[in-house]
Amino acid sequence: MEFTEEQIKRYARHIILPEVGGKGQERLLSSKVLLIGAGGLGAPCGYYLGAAGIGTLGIVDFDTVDLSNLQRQIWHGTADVGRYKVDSASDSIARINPDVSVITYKEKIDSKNIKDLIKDYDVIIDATDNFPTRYLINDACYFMRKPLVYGSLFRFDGQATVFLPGEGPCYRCLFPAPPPVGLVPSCQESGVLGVLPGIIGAIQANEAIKIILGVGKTLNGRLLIYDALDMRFTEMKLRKDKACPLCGENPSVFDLIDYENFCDVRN
Amino acid sequence: MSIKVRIPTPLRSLTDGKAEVETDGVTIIEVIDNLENNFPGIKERICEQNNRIRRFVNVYLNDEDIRFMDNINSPVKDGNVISIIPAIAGGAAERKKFYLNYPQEAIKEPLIYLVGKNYNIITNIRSASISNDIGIIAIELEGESQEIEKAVKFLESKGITVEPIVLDVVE
Repeated sequence: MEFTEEQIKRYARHIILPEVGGKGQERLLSSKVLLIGAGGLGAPCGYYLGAAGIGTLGIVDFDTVDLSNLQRQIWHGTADVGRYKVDSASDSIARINPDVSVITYKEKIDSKNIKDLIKDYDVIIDATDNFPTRYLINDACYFMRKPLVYGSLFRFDGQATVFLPGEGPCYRCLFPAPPPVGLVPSCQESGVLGVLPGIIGAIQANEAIKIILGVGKTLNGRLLIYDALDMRFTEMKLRKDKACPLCGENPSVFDLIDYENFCDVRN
Repeated sequence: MSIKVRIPTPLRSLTDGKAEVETDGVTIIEVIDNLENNFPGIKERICEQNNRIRRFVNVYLNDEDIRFMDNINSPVKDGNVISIIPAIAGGAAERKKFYLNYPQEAIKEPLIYLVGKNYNIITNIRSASISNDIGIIAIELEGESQEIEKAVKFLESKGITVEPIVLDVVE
């Protein structure tokens, strides 16, 4: 790949880093990342991936922009209220970096479409907001051996990690089953600090870029916990669970669990 | 003997908002029981009735998951830090939009009032077309997903056809 003069200037601060260099930047430009969720986590994550020159950025979200999103979903503006989030996101990326080809999916992700959605991508980012989709993404990434960058939040708490199928633990090793409705309050009751997804989403972008470059040490095997109120980062060991229903020694999950069935199980 | 326990935000309503509390005990379960004495109600958020840690909560002794140690019987020493880490999903409010198609006989019943009264749900009519024999309402229901599901079932039991609005055509 030959860089244009503009690209050399644009990516100069990357290219000058020995860990990235021209080769690394080329790698970023030819990589494909799928961002699932164009909301609070997706916005900062997508922004940084776009700015970094990820060649192909897929964005999945079926929702439209609501005024109450703008407190944290920084790639949508006031004028975008009512538009599809993926359209607004795509415009934001185009404004920053024309090198990025954005593919938008105005779809609700489910057990039928997820494999098709993720199959062509190198790294998958879980920037969703609900348990059924998180388990679905985890399982699909495990079956298709796709690196998954996980980020999640609640009020002032954030969590982030990386799941590398075949190498490390998966989301079900961490939490084998989702909480029943009612035991975990929804964000609606409690809100979420607007900056929090900014921090966790940026960490997700950082991890995705490292996976593509093959540099540094990812969060694989470590659960990063962030407490925005006390301003404390802690790290927990995340081990592969032999009893994991998905990737353990005697698995019980062999296929994708449909969203609706999953909700029934929850209730 | 002093053990620090880090409390995640979902449980801080039980600890007077404290992010970290001190307690004692020589095993994890003792620490949890002592925690319960000081902050009633916290144990059932962490443990099932048989003392097992709930499947969507992890308890860490320093940085190690107790499932990979002696679980709730793991020994705890002075100065140890215990962290309670629940599964969190994040995101925004649960708000769903539906088309309600009324059969003629149901048009005069105050069903939307009943949904708001009987379930913990905020109703918001976004558009409606109602005459003597046709009733179509686009409505937004806001609340916990379980409550929304109950409300939908209630409406369906009254003969209403409830159809989710997938694309945001109302806005």
